[in-house]
Amino acid sequence: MTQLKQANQQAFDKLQQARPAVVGLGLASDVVPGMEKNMLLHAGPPIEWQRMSGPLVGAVLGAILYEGWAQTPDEARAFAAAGKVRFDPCHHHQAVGPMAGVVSPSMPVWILEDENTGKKSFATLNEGLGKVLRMGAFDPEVLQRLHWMKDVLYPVLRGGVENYARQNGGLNLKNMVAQALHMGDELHNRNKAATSLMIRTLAPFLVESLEGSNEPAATLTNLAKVFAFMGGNDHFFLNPGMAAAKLSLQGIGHVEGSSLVSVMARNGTDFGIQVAGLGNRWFTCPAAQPDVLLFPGFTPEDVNPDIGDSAIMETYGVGGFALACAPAIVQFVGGTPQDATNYTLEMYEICIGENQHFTIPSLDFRGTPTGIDLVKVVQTGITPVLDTGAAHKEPGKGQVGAGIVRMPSEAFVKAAEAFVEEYEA
Amino acid sequence: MDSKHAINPLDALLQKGPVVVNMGMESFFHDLQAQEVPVVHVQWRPPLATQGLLQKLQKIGGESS
Repeated sequence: MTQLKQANQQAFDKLQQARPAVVGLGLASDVVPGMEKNMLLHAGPPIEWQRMSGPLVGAVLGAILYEGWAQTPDEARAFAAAGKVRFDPCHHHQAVGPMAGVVSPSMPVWILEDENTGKKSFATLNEGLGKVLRMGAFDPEVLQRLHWMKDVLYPVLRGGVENYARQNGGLNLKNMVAQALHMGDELHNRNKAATSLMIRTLAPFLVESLEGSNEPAATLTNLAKVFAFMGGNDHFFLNPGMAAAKLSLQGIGHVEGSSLVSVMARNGTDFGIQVAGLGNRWFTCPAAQPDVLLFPGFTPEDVNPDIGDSAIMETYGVGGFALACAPAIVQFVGGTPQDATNYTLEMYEICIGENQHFTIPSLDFRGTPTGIDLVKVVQTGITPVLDTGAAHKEPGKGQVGAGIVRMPSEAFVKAAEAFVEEYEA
Repeated sequence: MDSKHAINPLDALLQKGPVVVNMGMESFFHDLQAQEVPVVHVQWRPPLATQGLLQKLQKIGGESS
């Protein structure tokens, strides 16, 4: 076996061995490493305020209002333009965020831990679809929901999760992902089964946690609202699922000599990747334009270029790579069930292996394509395919639909050139 | 055989109609399919990298170029 193959096998094994589990919830300022008082985290590679896309600008304005750093959208814009916010990618803080991916200091986050390594990762709680902060919306309804999530959802959910963890250890998300794939999810744009599994698992511990709780929000009425919120949001699992993927991929973040892709992320302006053998260097190019099945009332001209850290799901070996598991998703992202299967089959061409834990019933329980190899991408000309949400290009408008997007090639070519420079000798 | 009566392969092709193998651009495949032309599609894309870069990657991977 050559050194490259050995290094890739080592990275692949690390990815497979990770055991991500939810161990609690906390406020970002308390638990996310390096989170500063004036900091907002965002999806994708680094970007300065002047180059931010509409949905990211919208989410930043919303987060500034949510934190109370400004009272109106105009004031919030002036606040950001004056350089009073420190922006940093979620990925630089062991975190991930769907779409705009904005995390502010007082937002509640999931805390995940790898049971093998003790490493941690973080993600916010999912708000639902449509007019939501992560899609760039920031009107009073959005902010009101965010405050409810912090004041009610967070303490109630934290009580249930901590109660579960005390009795069982962390909530094993890897098992949940494996089961959900057999129930019609692909875990990027369809999280209906995973969300249901999570609610089913936590329900008794949530109820039990009310008893003797000192938390003022821990009432039966609030618990009913929490169940209704989680049950009414099929994407509720997406954020902890992404944190599970990030945590698993952190292990391959620095594997000397490996050409496996460890991060793919978009900020609505740029697409960026990181490669196991090249550490935390970003290789970027302009973000792609998704092919979107639009919600009523929107046109293709409304669609912002691709955005979000959720590409971590495909990097993990699910999402677009597991579309064959989710024939029903074509009603949301377009195409036919055969197209969904074809996308999965195509992704085997650029991966070094098949997942040992995540399998596809319709392909005779073949493992999902896992471990994107930079070398295979540039050799075959096949770039990773994602099924993704799509945001309006103007701040404040929210989601316009969902669809399929193929990652742009330029970032892979740049990374391949750097890989040759690093390892040619 | 009398050359006058030999079958010209091109004539046979035109009499039976072509069967097309399409590589790469999938829209060509769909256009022919819409016109009920027998066609099979082969998924193929040109490599992303230059020949020089590909050779260097092959060398790192221990493959002969």
